[in-house]
Amino acid sequence: MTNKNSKVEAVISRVLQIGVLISSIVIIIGLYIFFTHNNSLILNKGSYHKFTSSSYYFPRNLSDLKQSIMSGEGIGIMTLGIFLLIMTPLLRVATSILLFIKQKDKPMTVITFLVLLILVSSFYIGIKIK
Amino acid sequence: MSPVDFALSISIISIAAGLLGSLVGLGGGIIIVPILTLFYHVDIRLAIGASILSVIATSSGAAVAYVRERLTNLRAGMFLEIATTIGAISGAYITTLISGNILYILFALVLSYSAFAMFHKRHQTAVLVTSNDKIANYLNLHGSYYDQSEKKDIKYKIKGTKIGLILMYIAGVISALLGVGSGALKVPAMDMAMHIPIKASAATSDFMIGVTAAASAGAYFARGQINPFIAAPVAIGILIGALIGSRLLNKIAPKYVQFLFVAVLVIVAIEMLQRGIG
Repeated sequence: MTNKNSKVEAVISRVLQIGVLISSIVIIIGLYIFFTHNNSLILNKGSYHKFTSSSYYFPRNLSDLKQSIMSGEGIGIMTLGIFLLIMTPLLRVATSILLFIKQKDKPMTVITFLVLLILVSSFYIGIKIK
Repeated sequence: MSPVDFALSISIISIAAGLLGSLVGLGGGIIIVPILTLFYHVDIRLAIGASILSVIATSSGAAVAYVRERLTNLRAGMFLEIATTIGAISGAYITTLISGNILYILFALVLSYSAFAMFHKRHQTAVLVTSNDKIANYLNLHGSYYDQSEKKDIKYKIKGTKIGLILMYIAGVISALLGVGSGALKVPAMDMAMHIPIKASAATSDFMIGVTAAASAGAYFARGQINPFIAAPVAIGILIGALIGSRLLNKIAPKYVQFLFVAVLVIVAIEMLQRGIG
């Protein structure tokens, strides 16, 4: 039991590590592009308030996000990184299901599967009803 | 202040928030939200959006080390996540029923009570050696870890799984409503109701808050509350802080972790009370 469990722990720790690493690399690339490319000189003049005001537009649905990334905007790439970071806990839960199935641990498989189901539906409902 | 200075300064502050959050099992939101609103004059809705992301960043960043060191009780954490995620879903509907102010005040009262109760029992650090909790025994939710500060293996049993589930459900509701990880409620629930040692409670709470926050993150994203210009530097800072903090927790004596947690609880309670009245 102990050996099996420590393997589960090693895999989950690694999955989280990869998720965190990839999302932070994407966020840093986005920040770099945001501050150095295109109209960066205009961007950095004046106060930061223009970016924190409610009139400042950034991608808030998947099609806008796709378009922003395609045109190489820093803000779109930052959003992608943030999205990947939000997905990391989901990936962790999904991985745990596979690990518990492999261990033939039925009760824990059912429990983690339920968590994933609730998580995904809550995420989906959240996007739909805002 | 120029946009670059904003990004740099907020990411440095976020390092501190990630460090503290990972040590006590809370998201960094308790530091991020007041600093963004009071010092940077950011709209509260955007500050809460950044806070939800900081919770996910603290959780995933800290859990890398905590899970590997077995400080996180994986099985108990996943079991309790059922209650927190259902809570997070119902929170989305409850928003329309209760006013935010009342909720903040209620939360502040609960936290004050937890702070008082945890301070009161600070000398009892004995772990549970037997348990007749049927759920905990059936699912084998008991845990063990090597405590680096005391240089010994800590084996502990768990009880109170039912009350634990109820408290976690409430924590999930609050999390969705207020945009916090509600680790402030999860840690006392595990520490006091379920007898999980304080360090394991903090590490398991850190592990869980990411899932609770991710459950409501979709709504925050769609509502445009996660502004990348604010959230991106916060996320990077928090991740760095959480990676450092999670390497420290196991080296600190449990009583100091308890003190730190009680102090943080008091601060959060005051903050929530202010938001409720203000």
